[in-house]
Amino acid sequence: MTIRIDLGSPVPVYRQVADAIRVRLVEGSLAPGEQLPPVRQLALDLGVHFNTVAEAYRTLSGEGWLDLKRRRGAVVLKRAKPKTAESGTEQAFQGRLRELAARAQADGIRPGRLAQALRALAGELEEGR
Amino acid sequence: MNAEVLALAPAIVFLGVLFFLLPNLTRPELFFAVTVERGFRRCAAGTLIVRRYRMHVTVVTAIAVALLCLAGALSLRSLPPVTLFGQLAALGAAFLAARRATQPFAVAPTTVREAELAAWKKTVPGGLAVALGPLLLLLLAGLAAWLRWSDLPEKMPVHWGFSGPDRWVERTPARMWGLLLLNGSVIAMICLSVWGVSQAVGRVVTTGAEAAAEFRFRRLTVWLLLLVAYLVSLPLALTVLAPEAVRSPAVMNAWGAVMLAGVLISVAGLIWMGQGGSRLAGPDRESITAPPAGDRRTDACWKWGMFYVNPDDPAIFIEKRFGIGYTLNFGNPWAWAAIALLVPSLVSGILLLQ
Repeated sequence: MTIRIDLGSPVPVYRQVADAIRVRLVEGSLAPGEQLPPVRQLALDLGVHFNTVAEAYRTLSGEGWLDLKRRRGAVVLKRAKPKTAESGTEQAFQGRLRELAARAQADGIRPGRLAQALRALAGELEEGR
Repeated sequence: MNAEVLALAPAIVFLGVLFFLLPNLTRPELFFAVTVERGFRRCAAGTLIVRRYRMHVTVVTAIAVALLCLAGALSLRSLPPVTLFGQLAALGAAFLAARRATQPFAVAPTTVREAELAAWKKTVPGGLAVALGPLLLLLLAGLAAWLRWSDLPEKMPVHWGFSGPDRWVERTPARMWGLLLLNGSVIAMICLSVWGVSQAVGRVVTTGAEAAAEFRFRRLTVWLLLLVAYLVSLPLALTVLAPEAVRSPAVMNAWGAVMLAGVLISVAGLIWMGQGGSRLAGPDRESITAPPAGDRRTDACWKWGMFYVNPDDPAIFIEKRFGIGYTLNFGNPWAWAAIALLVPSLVSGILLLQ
């Protein structure tokens, strides 16, 4: 199970790491009780500072995904189902989705392909629920 | 032919052969320590650079062998070591010239990084206990020397030839401390290297078949280091615990033969695998359209292609760009801490033995 980041991206690295791990958590690829690699090991593999990975782990811990109390690594928690999102949260998310779609089209991805990918992703998320 | 010539001739020839082969042993996207496009080494410019480099290496080695023969014929005792250092300097110059010729073709490595969300596989069989074994053996020797001081022989051997010990020191507290510091520093350096290559190394590839090949390369490197550490700790341990054994030419020649065989076999294995296991990794990646990866580090951090200096990289050890094995990240303060701790101990040990 791999994660991938781009050190040349304008997105902060810690957020890329947190986002990549979150995808695995939401998909269910990382099950409750599983241990993530230690901060040092993941930092060495990604070629980033230890604090960057530690910040990513703290972000996910703040969202209720990880238990950081253990001495080594982080353990995946069984996260309580969140309440239904507030309208503000959903609007902000839709705004980010529009921006991402616009950037994809600007990079040459056709609207049809984009819609197809979004439908496939929606299907996966529905199955995983 | 005198002893120095006989001893140095294989070393000079080995160096020449190794430097001759090195362009084929590095990672495919690294060419004389410069990140290049896949397939560059097969294009016209690449083959010309390699041809010129190998011509330089051949000429330098031939001159070194000739000088060595001259030294043997005329009994010039100072010439053999000068020849060896001269050969090393000239081979280094050949490498730097080839690197300069390659730099116009440099490309930026990919900025993409991948990582497995799983713990690293262990490279040290037996873990920490095995890795620290040589140091524990040395501590045991020191303790035994303290407890049995008056039972130890008046003179202790510190150097051996084929017919047995040929240099001795008197049994004094200063000399014993010197031996412990000297051996302890060397073994500590090796044990730290074992830890570093196992736990503090910047892996180049972390997923797929190439990662598995890299793991095998790292594991063999660790085993070689452990073998040397255990064997280096033996003479002092035997001096204290079994003094008669170290006076026996048969025992010490067997020790030397095991060391030499072990090192040669391991080094041959590492060369066969290619740097980082790159020759084991499977089909050539020339067909892949992604940007070159190299060692995933920027060329600017490699000074003269030999010294890696990057304070932003958390790794303490990383793969050499030209050569087989690993080197320190001199931008990491822990690398300097280790040097600052161990080098004075080594020098103190040597001085105490004078």
